[in-house]
Amino acid sequence: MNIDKKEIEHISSLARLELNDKEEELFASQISSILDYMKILDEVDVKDISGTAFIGDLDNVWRNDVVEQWPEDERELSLDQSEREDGLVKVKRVLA
Amino acid sequence: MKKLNELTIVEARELLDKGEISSFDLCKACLDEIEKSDKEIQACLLVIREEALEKAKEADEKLKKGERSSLLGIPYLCKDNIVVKGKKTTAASKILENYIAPYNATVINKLNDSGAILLGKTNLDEFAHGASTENSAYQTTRNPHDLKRVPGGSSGGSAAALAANMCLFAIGSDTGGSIRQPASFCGVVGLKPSYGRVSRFGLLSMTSSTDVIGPLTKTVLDNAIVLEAISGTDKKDATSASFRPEAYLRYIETKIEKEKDLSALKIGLPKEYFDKELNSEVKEKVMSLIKKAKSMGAKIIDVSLPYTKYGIPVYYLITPSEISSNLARFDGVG
Repeated sequence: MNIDKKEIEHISSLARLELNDKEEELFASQISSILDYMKILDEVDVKDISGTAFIGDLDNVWRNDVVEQWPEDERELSLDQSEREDGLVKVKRVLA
Repeated sequence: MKKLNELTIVEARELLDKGEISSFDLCKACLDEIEKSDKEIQACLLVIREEALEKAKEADEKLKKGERSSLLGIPYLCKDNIVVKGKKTTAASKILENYIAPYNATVINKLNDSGAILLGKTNLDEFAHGASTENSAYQTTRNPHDLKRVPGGSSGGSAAALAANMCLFAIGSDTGGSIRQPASFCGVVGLKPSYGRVSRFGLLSMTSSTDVIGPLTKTVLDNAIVLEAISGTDKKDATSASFRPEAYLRYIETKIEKEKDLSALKIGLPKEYFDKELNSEVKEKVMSLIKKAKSMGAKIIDVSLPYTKYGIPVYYLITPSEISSNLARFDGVG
């Protein structure tokens, strides 16, 4: 499958990544070859196989969705080393 | 004579129960080993020395009173993507640098119930995404057998720490090889239990449909002991299995350990795993073990797993898809 530069521009804008021309070319060719690799799955004959989410013999484990009260001091402990703003935890930028 | 931290669980269990060694000395030997060699190996992200030694003293009191349980007084390390109440759980990421978990994973509660003593948390590839433990945001773990080599991953901290005798067993997690591959790189026994056998509650999710928590140990028998302690149904994991484990522990103890008898076992050799890409030294080792198993009575059967070649493309469709939604939060709830 051929991924062209236009598609790479679209993906990078969705991912908020700034790529230069050289990188766009590089990733276009890499993503194309990854998708080609996935094509190997097309050769598997699955016409007699119904949709399978899971092969194990498992049943759902059900319980009532009840909110449990959590001690406020324990909630605070798990957050107390972090900076907070409007109830949200602030973390430093982790990707360069 | 082995040093205390070099003992297997079975050996330590016997000596602890007879009162010939104390849990305090056993834990201290492991903690001293961490202090001595972890500067080079870099397996641990957190060590809770004082707390562990306090717990060890409590275990010694219980042992003196005649209390017995499978892991009472046995020290272990846990991969840092499994939550422990009141302790940092970073998943080797700077995003969670300050995160202190407000609850225990089910596995941690079960190990507490069995009397095991947590010494600290081990390094991993960030959020368990990797296969070498070089992707940690904090440190690169080294293989204790050769410091120039990687320990494998993503449970590389657990495998390296165990191989360096920093603990008697370690806990890891396996999505696409993250227990088995580092165990093999470090020469320890690593098991990915069947999906659902061990509760995932409290494991920071990666790929929910294949994530499993499992034990890394020095021997197969030790592995069965830890698996028995951590397995079982859990209301807090919606995909936990309701069937009970069979008596594998007893089977290994009597048939394999005592009688050296494997005659009830059939071992399949998938021909796809023995292709020309297989390293010749690895192949030689595997073949010599197969010969040994055969001499102990096991039936060796050639089998074919024709879909083997589709494993990696399927993995790379399922895993990034589930990671994309799972990494929106890091709370350890299924």
